[in-house]
Amino acid sequence: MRSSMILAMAVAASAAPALAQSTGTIDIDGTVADRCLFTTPSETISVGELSLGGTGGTAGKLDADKLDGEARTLVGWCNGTAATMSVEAQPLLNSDFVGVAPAGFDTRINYTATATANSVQASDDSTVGGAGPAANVGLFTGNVVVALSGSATPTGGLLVAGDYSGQVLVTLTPNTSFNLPPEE
Amino acid sequence: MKKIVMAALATTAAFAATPASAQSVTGVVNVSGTVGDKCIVTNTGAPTGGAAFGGTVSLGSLDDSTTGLLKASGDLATAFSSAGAGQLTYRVVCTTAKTDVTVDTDELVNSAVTADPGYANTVHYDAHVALSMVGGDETVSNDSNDTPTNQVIAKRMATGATNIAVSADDFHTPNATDVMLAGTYTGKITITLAPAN
Repeated sequence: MRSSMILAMAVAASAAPALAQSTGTIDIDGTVADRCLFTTPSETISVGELSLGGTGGTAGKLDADKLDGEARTLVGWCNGTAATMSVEAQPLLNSDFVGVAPAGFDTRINYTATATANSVQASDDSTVGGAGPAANVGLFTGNVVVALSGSATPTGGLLVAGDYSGQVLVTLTPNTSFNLPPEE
Repeated sequence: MKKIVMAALATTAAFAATPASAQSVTGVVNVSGTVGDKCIVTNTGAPTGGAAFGGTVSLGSLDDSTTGLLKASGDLATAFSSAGAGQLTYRVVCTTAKTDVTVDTDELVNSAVTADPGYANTVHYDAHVALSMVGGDETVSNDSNDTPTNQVIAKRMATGATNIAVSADDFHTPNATDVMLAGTYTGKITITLAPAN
């Protein structure tokens, strides 16, 4: 008798290689420029009658209490760490009077303006033209409080009648260096 | 044999964002006030009643003791001025470019008596108000016979020591031959300064 043996050999030989992962990337970049902005950029101080009443030696002269201590609040922000703030106080001038004030009279009122933001102060005296020195206000968002002090007339004379007006200019300057991404 | 070709595509997107140029921003606080039109008395003299400034002049005896007529005008003018600077000079300053001045002279009158013909109970005179002003002095005068004098002078009151001085002259009775009636004679000069534009 013959017997045959069939050997079924199943050969399973497949070491399928693990699927090799590959990752692609997309780089994104952008910038935010150094910037400052006033969200409340303008306020007004109207003090009415500027001169002292009554009789005697000081009547008709500047009432310094009218301007000294007056304050208004602007609101702004700067997003850079090296932002600066400067103030320019422009004197109150009589807008109705033309020419040089006669002897014994004044048509100009000088004062000091101080701006406070982020616990930093910058100030300017209106007797000297142009803005005062810049202060490093840095990164901040919030109030810029402008206060007046030290008001006086050039000769201490009588104030000529009329309307007087001046301005305090507060300038916020962002850092001027730029942050450009590297070229690809 | 399988070949697995893998192509790895790497894409880098470079965003070259140009930063906005760093601009300064300026906030503004406007400040305004006014100085009203006004005249202020700083040297009052020796005013009486509710007057802001002024004085009192006592002329003494008005008549000539030998003729009974009014004394010579020059003598009365001197008697007027002898009241002195304390009564006759003042300082008023106004804040406007022009000054509105009114002078109203009231004759000296003895109101207790009525003048019959040949007699007088009234003495007329001219008052002169000298004003020191910026750009040149001015004088505003008024005769007690006339209505008040009003002038708007296009100058400011000067800011020196005193800038108003009052004098009087041309004292006369209605008729030169009138005999003065006895009694007390009173008159006044009213000066009004107002600011003007």
